Amino acid sequence: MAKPVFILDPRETDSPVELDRPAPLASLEGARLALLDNRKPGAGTLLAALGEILVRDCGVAETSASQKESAGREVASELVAQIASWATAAVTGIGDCAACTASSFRDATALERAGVRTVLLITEPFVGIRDRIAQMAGLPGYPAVVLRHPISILTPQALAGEAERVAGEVAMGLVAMSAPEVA
Amino acid sequence: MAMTTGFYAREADAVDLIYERGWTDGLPVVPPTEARVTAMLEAVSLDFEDVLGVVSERSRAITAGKLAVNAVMAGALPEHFGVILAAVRALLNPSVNLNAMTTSTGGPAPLLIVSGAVGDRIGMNSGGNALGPGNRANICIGRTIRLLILNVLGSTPGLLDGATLGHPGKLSYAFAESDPPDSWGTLREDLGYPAHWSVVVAVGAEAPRQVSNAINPDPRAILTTIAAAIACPANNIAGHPTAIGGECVVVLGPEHADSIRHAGWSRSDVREFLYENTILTRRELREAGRLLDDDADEADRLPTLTGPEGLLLVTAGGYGGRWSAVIPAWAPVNTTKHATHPLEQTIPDEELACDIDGSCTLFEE
Repeated sequence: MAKPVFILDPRETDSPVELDRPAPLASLEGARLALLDNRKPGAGTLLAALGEILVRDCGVAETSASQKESAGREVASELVAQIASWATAAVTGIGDCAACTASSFRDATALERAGVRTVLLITEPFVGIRDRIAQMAGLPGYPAVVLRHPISILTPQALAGEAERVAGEVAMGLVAMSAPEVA
Repeated sequence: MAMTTGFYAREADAVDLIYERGWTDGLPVVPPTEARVTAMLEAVSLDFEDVLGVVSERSRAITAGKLAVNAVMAGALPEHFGVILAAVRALLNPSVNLNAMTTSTGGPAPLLIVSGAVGDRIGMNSGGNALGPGNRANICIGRTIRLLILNVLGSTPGLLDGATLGHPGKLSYAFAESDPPDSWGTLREDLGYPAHWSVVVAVGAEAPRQVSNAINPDPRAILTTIAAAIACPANNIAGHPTAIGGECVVVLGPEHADSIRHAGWSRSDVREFLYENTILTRRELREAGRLLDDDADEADRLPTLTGPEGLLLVTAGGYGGRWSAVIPAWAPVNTTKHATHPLEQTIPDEELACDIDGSCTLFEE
């Protein structure tokens, strides 16, 4: 009988990093809300609509929109610092592709490391990508608000409707004592 | 963690057990035993724990040891490992954006172009079927990177690898440049490296589109046909409303290259021509079904390439047919850009200064 040989494992193990999420806001009354657009089609329109709703319904004082360089890259540290110097809360997205979701997850955690409570927006097919990338980062269960898919083909009116549909959940993610339920 | 994680098995059973663990790309692998992995590491004088770099988006370091394990599994030989090492160092350059490339629905693959004498020395193919089967070095070098992406970066298809379709280059995508005659120049020289160095150029790439023009020897005609394949509105780099443009590899087959060279065209003439002739108008994009969310002038010109320098020109392939190939980057340059890493062992000591992280530069005169 042949002698067994030792087969080496080709995998690398997860190396969790620490992140203490910023505490939820007591309320959105008077909040300064940053809207970080990842440049995916429809993202700017949906985020703007979301901002208007949160001003109208939740007392957000001001919103400020910004765009990152590419949906497939993490937001630049300079933009994170700029947002963190002004905002008390943020919404970022839309993770409506696999690379965009992985990158927007990084954007959300970068903003939270800078002290800004953030809600991540993704679309339904990319829940699994969010799950895996969050697990690898040592943040299993990191929440996201899940939008319908495909979002990139929606009209501005339909995007506004989608913003209305999820605005409550976004607000909960920013102010609730617990994060929105993991999708 | 040294070579301590793994399992014991009879070698005859190891392949099936590795399948069961999900450690393969779908093909059988060579069982990575300690002896095989050690031979790989000895070829480059590295230890198992030596860190080659970190992909921070994945919270993962790439060590020489895990790379060697995956190289053994891919069927690579120790003499291939220097090129594999240079390929990984190129891919770790943030400009390539390895995290997005190995997650994307676009399904790109890391294309590796080996430019320089090392390609011949380790038996890589730069001739007929350079982009196809039949050569152990080409296939196993490219496959090592695939297994690394799967096992070390965690890009399991259907999980963190979200490709809608992917393409066959995701199994292996490596070839060598065939230096053209008459000092016409090479890719490495275009990128600023001396001709006597060897380098690996890494590109996050779509599948190759073969280009046929068998009946017209005029350089303008050949390049116009190639330009049509580059500026195809279906390519992800073509026609972004932001007009950023992307990069594209053109593999000139030898008969096309001969016609172009003999007509007196330089490499920079080729790059300029292809840049100018791959600019699309908004009208053309709309007619091809691409929706543009602005009301700019329909005649506005949107470059497909970032500029003439966005065209990576390589010569490879076999005689007997008049074919070339176009390999677009999978995304515009704000998302991905090629990176190059030299093979230190091909560089005379007096020309090289290497940092501890493996990055090397020429000594300043």
